[in-house]
Amino acid sequence: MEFFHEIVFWPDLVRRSFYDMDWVLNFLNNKLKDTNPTTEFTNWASFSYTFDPLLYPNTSGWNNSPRQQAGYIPQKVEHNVAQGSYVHAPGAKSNIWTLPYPAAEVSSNPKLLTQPVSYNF
Amino acid sequence: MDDYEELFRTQTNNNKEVLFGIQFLPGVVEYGLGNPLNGALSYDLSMTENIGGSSALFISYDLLKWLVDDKALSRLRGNVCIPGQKYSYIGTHLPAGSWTVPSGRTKCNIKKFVVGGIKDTDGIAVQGNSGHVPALMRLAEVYLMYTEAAIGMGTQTSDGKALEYANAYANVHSNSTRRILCLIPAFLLMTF
Repeated sequence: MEFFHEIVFWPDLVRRSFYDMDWVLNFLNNKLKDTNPTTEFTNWASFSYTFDPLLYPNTSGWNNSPRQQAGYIPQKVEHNVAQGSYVHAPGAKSNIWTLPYPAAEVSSNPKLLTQPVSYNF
Repeated sequence: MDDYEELFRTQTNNNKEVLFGIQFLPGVVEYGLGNPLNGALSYDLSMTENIGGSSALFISYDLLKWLVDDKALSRLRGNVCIPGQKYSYIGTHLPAGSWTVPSGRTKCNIKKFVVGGIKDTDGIAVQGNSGHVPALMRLAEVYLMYTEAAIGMGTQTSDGKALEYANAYANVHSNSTRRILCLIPAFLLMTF
């Protein structure tokens, strides 16, 4: 419960552990940091910046921003599910931490894997 | 609400913009019944009349950059302590009658949910409980949803109501009387 409150993605780690335990253990042991493309968001440099318009007016307030640091990897969300689909993660290697639909549900409703459609009201 | 920033004051609890919010109990000091964020997030003790402060929680680089680039000043200073920004409704107990974000820290503290001290809140805030009702859903969100629905799968809309709502949203968050230019110190403006 403590982990659940302190780390917002703890449930995602538990879920992922059911089908990708190696990745989860490596992540928790800090072995993926800065080196693995799936964990760029943990890059420590991305947390460092200085923004002070009074001290640095010539740069609109910015100084020592991550993008000025060598080795900074910009944070990004990689949308690597199939084109036209916004609703599911394809499997264990997906970089989107959403819950894949159980096969039984997809079998009974194949439209779960298709693109959402807008409707008029 | 005419100004987004006003959402983070106890005096505006449950205002017409708030569809529903967490109803913390003003003045109660028992943990769990009050809103503890005033002391947990505030820049220093002077900001809250010594009822909490000196937070080490800061906004991330990516979110700050988005707020700055967005150029909506009310949303920026309503959420983040930007050095040089003056808050007339915070620090009213101080000799200056207001509180200005000092210069010198590397990262920017969070301003959202910091309501100030006892005098700033007309006696509502106590240690451990700001008495502030945080909005969980605002009218602005409904406006945006309406606009999104009007656009549908397209890229634009001529729906008059949607345009009216989108403009209302933009005006509240940018607060045209205090544009982003305020971030540039006055002395610098005078030299150019």
